[in-house]
Amino acid sequence: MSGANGGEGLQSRLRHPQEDLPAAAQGDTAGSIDMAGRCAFALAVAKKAGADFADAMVAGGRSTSVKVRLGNVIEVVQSRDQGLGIRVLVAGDGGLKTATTSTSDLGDEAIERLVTAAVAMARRTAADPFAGPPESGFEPEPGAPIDLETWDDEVYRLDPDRALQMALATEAAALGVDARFTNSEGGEMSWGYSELHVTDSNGRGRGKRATSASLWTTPVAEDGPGKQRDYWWTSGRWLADLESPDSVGKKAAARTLRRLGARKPETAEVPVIFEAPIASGLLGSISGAANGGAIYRDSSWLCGKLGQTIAASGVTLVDNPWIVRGAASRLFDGEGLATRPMTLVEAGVLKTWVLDTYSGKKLGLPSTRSAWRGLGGSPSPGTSNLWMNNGDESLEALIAGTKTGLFVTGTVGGGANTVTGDFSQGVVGLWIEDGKIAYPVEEITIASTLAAMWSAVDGIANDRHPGRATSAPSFRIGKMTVAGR
Amino acid sequence: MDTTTALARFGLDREVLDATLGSLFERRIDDADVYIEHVESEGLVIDEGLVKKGSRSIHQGFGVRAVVGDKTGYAHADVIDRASLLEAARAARTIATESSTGGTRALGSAHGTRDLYPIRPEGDPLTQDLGAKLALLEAIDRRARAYDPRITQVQASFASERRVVLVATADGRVVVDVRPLARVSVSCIAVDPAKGQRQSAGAGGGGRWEFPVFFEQGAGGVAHWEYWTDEAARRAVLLLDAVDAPAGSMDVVLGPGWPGILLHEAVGHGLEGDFNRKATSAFAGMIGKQVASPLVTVIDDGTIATRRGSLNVDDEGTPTQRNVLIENGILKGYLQDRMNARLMGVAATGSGRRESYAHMPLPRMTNTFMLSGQDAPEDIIKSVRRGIYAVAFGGGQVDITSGKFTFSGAEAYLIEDGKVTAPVRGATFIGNGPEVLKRVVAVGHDLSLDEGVGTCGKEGQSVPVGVGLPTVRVNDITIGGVNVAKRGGA
Repeated sequence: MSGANGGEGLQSRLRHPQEDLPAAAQGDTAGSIDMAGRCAFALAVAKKAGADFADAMVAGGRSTSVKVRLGNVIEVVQSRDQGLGIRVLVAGDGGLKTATTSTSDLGDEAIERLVTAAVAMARRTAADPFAGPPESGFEPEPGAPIDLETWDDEVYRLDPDRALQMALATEAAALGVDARFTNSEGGEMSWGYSELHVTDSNGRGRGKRATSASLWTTPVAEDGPGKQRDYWWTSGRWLADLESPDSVGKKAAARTLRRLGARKPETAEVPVIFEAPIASGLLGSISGAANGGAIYRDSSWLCGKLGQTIAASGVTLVDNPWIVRGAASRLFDGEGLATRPMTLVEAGVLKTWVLDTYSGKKLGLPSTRSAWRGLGGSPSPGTSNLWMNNGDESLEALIAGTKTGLFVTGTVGGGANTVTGDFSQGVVGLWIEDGKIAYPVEEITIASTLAAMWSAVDGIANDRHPGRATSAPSFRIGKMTVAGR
Repeated sequence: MDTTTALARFGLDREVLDATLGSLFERRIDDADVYIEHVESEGLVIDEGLVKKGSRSIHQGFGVRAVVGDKTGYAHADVIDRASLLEAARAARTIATESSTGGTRALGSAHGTRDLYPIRPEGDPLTQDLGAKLALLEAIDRRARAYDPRITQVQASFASERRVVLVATADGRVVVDVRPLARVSVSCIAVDPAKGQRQSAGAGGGGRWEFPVFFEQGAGGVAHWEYWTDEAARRAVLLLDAVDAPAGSMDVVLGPGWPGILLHEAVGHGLEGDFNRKATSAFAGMIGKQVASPLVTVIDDGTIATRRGSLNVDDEGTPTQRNVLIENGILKGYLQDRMNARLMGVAATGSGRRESYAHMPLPRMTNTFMLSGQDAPEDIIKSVRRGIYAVAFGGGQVDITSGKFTFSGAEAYLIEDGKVTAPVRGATFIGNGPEVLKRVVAVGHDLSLDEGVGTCGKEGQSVPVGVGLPTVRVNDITIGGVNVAKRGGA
């Protein structure tokens, strides 16, 4: 828990697409809402109330999840969602004034009441010379894929019994690995689709839809007094892109078993290797800090560092929204601009900020077409499929090349402060002695500064998991403080 | 709000609820409910001195649940009408395979007899004149910037909502709860170009409050909003001079109030009924055992008037209560929703909460705190030769199976020879839940509850909560700083 957020630990693995979805395939219409019609109605109300510009979004979808535990189904959940969001801008003295509103009630009366109130609210906010929609960049970029293949009929029509069998098989594969698996937090298969339509008061409209499916299991193992859990998950827009239940279960089992018998090591300064799934989480310490919103507010450790070396020369970060079937792929951003791939960090040099139109204007730069928008608010910048390039050695070689060190396999809260550049995180992992995994460790923290960490990346493996929206290979940082006993 | 008024607001009547529950009970099930919700909310943000945008939303929907044994069928939708409710009931009841002759259920008409957070229309933060709220944000911005020239950025928000909840239960009750909630958040950036230092800090508070309460006197002898503004600015500036935090195991004195996050993470989640019924918690099977120092008594109380974590009834319609979790070090009980209480053969504790209609209830905390002890706070600090005095934290997290938990320091100082000295930079603290409270060696007489900012996440569901703590000394907590040389111990 926290002032902002935090958690018991299992969140954010089952995220259904709610925000800006990748582009739609043609053909089958899944929903029953007249999305374009609802947008048009909301825009007409906004215009009548006096808005000078507005863009309306209608999203909807259905999803189902089946959860099992210890071989029995324990939860079946069916979800049906819909909503309309609209942003209204009113010309003021020296700029535009903005308000946003959203509702899950798509009836005429609710839309009329809320949109009229939003225009009235906008009149009371401050005029902002930087506010406003983009003026150009709507034409598709050369080389962009025609079809991002975000829709899979097999997911859309998935038989719940088949989903149940997949969840059962995943958990069983984990629990069957070893007799020390005495318990389970269960396994779950969830799947569904979302649709989205956006229209603005200049008549620009676009629609998208996407399917998604995910599968996870969290086994619990016991060995004497110690009890441990860990998990593995797979997700994709296409059913065929999911890892097999057997693979998911066995990975979850291996991740849990290796934590049994963990000790608390002595406090020390040693090299630290981040396993690929954990390394992926570190990319936000650059991409979040390079976010235009943080830069124009002068609240990022990367302020003033554009064009400078911020990481070791092996570090290259790419943001590519054009990956076919990719988790965060899209042809248009949240302001309707045609997306394009970009290199965020090239051989250690920071090449660009991550910008939407507003933060770009604040910094005197064009948008990098990185806007995301949910139903409830205005656009803001963010990355799409973000990854760090693979290195050329195997993870085994990276570990073998580390005399004494820590191999981080999980996190327990804390992390990067992208304003100050401080880093302090609770972790679990495996201790490395003489280039070999020696024993599991827990109840420790690792600390450094982001500037020191990224400069000290001295080994990068070739094990990036390409199926995730954000992915990095395992990599080693030459020295960090490990706090234990 | 009475049941009939609430139902009318949703365009429903009693018969629809009867029919929905009746449809569920055509199968042999142990429990069921219909949860209907309407949330109206507003958010205003000041950024760079301007209130650049405002937002307002209305979200409504329902969830229908059927429970048999430890199995749950749940269906939810945001179109509230007879056809959708009955369709959802048919979907939810598929969890149960055996038919029953249950038929139509007749509902009674109970509704809440107490109101922990009455709001008069003229005091409702949500419907307050927009000008008053904008003026508050502008005043916060001016006050924070005036605090110190090194404050370069101020962001502040005022968020308010009114949540109308209706629960129809299998035992024939229909309960309505109207829940106001409002919060001010302030965050400041301080920059010292000469030192090349940039720091950020935040503060805030609120509760199930009327709007004028924000202007009443709070801590520090000033209005609540003034105190939070000063705190955010003070802390950002203070941290510009902070030294590196030490690394390793140290004795820690936690200040009163929000540092109660220690209890929330170290023991609170581990005492939730679901993890203990499934025996996945490090605290499973430990009722009656010593899990903390005899100085420690931990309470979860959902009945404190106007608190952010309080509820008249939980999200299953059970009245909230004051639950003793740990008494003089002995584990007394778990937090229970209806399903886990039934499966464990105990009473529900009013702890079944959900983020919204789109989520199933889970056992959750409300306001979790440790009772005061005997010690003077200054004596507790004096008792430490070398350690850390921590008065404010960011977030926290726990792995309930291994029991390991963390919380992130936002304002902490070195203690050297019994005296509070230099502030230290942010660092993560880590400990072992079942062990840490056994190492509480002093408890102050100064219990205070936090200012009303907490949001707890579990299985992807966020709910507002509160925490509280007197000044306590805990030996041997691991601090994740960078400074190995300054490593210390008692």
